[in-house]
Amino acid sequence: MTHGLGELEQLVLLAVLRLEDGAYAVSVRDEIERRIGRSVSRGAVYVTLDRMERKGYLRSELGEPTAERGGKAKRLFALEPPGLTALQESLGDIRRMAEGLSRKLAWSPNR
Amino acid sequence: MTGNRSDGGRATGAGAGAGMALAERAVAWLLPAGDRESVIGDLREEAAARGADGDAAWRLLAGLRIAAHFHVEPYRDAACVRGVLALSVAGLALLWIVPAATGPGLLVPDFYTDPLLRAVAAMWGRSHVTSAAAAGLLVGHLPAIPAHAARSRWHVALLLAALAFSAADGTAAAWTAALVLLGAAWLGDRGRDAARDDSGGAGVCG
Repeated sequence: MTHGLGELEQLVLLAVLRLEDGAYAVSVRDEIERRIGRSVSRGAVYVTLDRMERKGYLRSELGEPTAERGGKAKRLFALEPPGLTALQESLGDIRRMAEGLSRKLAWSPNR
Repeated sequence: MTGNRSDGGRATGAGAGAGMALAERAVAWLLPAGDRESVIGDLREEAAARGADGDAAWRLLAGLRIAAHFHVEPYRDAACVRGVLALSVAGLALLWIVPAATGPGLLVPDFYTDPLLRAVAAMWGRSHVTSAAAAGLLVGHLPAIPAHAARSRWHVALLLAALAFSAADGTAAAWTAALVLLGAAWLGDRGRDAARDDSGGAGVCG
C-alpha cells in the first residue's frame, strides 16, 4: 500500500520523530530549517501538521500555558503507529528508487 | 517635560498594546478554532525570540500568512472542491431564479402605513434581497462540504454576497442583499450544527 507522502510531509514526520516530546509547530520548523538549511513557511508547517493529524499519522494535545507565550499553550505533536508505517514505506520507496544510482547522484556540474 | 515624555511613552505603549491586541484578534478570527491558541502563542514566542515583541505589523503579517495557508488547504481535497462547486452553482441558481420568477419585487401591502415599516417591507420584498436570503440559507445549511473544510463554506458565502451586492439596484439594496446573504448563511450554518449535534454524530460532512 502506498501512502504517497510529499516531501514536506516526510520532513515534518521526521522532525516530530526526532523531537519526541518537544514537537510543536515552531520547533518542527526550526528543526527542518536547521537540518536541511532552507527556509520553510510557517503556514505550510501548520497545515501539514494538521493534515497529518487528520490522517491519523500524528496526535496532538495542548501543553501547559507558559508566561513567555503570553499564557497560551503549545500544541504538542507525537507520531502514531500509522504515521511511522507511512514514513517507513515512503522512505523505503525513495531508497529503492535510488538504489544503484549513487555514482549518477554524486555527479556535480562543478566537477 | 519628563512627565510629558513619560505620559507620551505610556500613551505610545498603550497604543502599541491595543494594536497588538487588534492584530491578534484579526489573525485569530481567520484561524480554525482549534488552532487559535497555539498559533497565537507560537507567534508571541517567535516575536519575543527575534526581538519583535512589540511589532504588531510583524505578528499581523506572519499570522495572516499562516491563516492564508489554512484557507487554501481544504482545496487539496477533491471532495471539498466538489462541495464548493455544488454550493456555488446552487447559490448562483437561487440568486438568478428568484428575481427571474418574481420580477423586481413583491408589493408592499396597503395596511403598512408607517413609513419606516413600509421602507423595511419594500426592501425585504425586493427580489434580490429575497434571493440573497434563500441562497445564504442554502449555502449555510447544505452538508456538501467535508467538516475539515468548513472554511470553504464561507468562501462561497462571500463570493455569493459579492454577486448579490453587484446584482441589486441601488446602494442600500446592494448592502442589504450582501448582509442578508451572509446573515442567512450564518443562521443556516448554526442550524446545521444544531441538527448534527441533535443527531449525535459528527458525520463526514460538516
